Amino acid sequence: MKDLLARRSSSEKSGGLRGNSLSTFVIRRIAIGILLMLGITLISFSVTQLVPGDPAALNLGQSAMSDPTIVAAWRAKYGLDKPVPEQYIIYIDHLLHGDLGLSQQSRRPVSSDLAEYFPATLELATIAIFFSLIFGLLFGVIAAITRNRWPDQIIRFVTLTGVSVPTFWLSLVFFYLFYFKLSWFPSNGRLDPGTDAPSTITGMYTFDALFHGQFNLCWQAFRHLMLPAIVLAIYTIAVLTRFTRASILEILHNDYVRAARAKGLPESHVIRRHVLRPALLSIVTVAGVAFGNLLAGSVLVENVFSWPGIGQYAYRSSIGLDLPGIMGVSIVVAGIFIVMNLLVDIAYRFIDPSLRHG
Amino acid sequence: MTLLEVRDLSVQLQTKTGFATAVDRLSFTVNEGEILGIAGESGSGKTMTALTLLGLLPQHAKVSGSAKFNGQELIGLSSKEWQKFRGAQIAMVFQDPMTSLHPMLSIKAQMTEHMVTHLGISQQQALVDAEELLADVRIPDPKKALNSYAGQFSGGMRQRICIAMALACKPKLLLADEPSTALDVTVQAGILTLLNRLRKEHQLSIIFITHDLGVLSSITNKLLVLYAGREAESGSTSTILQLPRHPYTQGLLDSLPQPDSNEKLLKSIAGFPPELGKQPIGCAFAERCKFAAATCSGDELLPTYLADSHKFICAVDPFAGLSINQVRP
Repeated sequence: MKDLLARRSSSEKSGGLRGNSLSTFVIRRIAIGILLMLGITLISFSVTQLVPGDPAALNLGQSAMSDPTIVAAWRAKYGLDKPVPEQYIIYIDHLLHGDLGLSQQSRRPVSSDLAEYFPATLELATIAIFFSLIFGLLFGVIAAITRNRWPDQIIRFVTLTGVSVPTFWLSLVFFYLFYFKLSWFPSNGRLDPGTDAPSTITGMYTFDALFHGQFNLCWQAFRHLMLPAIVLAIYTIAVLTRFTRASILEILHNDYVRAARAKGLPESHVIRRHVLRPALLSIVTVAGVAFGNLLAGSVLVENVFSWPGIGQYAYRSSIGLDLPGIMGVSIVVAGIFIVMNLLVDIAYRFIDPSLRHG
Repeated sequence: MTLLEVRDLSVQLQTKTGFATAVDRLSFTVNEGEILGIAGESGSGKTMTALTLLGLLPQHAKVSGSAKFNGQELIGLSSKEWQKFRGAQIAMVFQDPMTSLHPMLSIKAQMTEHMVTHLGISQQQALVDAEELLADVRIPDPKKALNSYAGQFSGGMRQRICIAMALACKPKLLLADEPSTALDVTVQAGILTLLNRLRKEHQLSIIFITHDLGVLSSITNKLLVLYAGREAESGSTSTILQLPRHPYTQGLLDSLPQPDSNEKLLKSIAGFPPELGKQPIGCAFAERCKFAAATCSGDELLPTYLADSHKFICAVDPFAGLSINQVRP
């Protein structure tokens, strides 16, 4: 993974990024992203066709299945009676018009399903990555500068535990401990039972409640977020800590760090200015991938905490062979990673200003 | 006047098998405005000596002996106290200008940060001074250079920037660790001329470290030849180059390419220096030396002192009483 990242950043430094203005760079990347999305729809469409199983059998009841006219009518409703290539072309045509089709599970447009489930995940993932960046960077820097002394040993032990413990197990333990036993955090779901959600602006409850001035509701939504966000963040913190430590130690070996010390600069200044900046290049890459993973849905954590997010939706769609649902999730996830990659590449240019000078 | 006085300086580095002596009881002095050349192969302890004088040795290294700078003892300073010397009183130029400038910080940021720290001047004043310094080391268009990044300069230009950066806080002593080795020969000459001029204009003392005796002969006043962390020979450059008394110094001189020689192969000293931590008692060079005798190993050897503070450590002294024509026909 590290090799891959190193290669990636060096190739971008030598070619792609140098000497372009930011806007042409972004426009070109968006165009490539659209082509990529098209390819992804083709692949996920083909894969769902290859999976054995009959969507009709999974979505219709026993008695309906025994009546061929009902089955035929159901197939015709979702376009499943047409040849597969034609199905794909129809799907793309609809997609270009912003129509993701009807979910066979919820019997609602996939686009409105996604609009409901995705903000829940976005809210969770944003809080989780926020914690992860703060603590991952902090622990990573401490571990690197106290290399092989006791703070580093403790951090190593804790982070190794963090990456080794299965997240679903941790979710259960946290849920049992902090909700059931200690009652520090509220129960499952996004809000207390019987509470009305704030009227939708972004679909993220904390933000929407804040916008409408419903501070109590905002606080309630935030408290519901905490437990799953912490569970999600633990793994990412562990990964980021280890990665930050490794990249700082690597940078410390560089001649320019010795040269900075030879100038008599305080060690804290050397770390902040001469070491952290180059280390951020690889940290940002990992953080981008991690955020993408959080957004793509953490099925198990969302299930344990009954969090109505994209992970749960993906799980339900795939169990029911809900083709439009699966396709919708694939497109959203692909879009997330394309956008994250673009953001990471833009971040490179701010971290390393020499990229902007040809 | 003596600026730096080093007495019995030893450095031990931690290796997997324990501590190994990298610098073994070195003594030398550097006077104001003088250039001392330290010569030797890689691993002879040249760079370690320089890093000791900046307090930049690896963690866990053991240092003993004394190094007095302007009468102030350097060995044993705390890291806070070192920060006041580094860059301000003693500065260093490193071997590879391609890697010793930070690739992501502008030249401006790198030129001024230690000026602000050490001299207590404003960023604006530091920028004005930095521009002058760059002009002084002959960087074309210093204003533009300040806003550029290391990657936009050639090796020679980068080394000039490194030199300007080292001189920014008007240090009294410059440690130049093979500053021209990584550069083309023509660029190398330019750097040497520059250093010599700066020495005169800034009343600078320089310790010039290299394996290339040809380079040292052109700019140094005094020479110190190291072998396996120990002094082999020292004295004024002209004396040593005319009539070296240590077989190792002689070997180094013989290894220089001779343009008018008829021989087809370049001469070299056979064998390799001993590994770190495996230096024998007695003369470390004995096993590669064609004059080696029984007296070379087993006991500590005593230095021989000659006129003009010429000193060498050799039990055999094969060139005693010979004239230059007999030694180097």
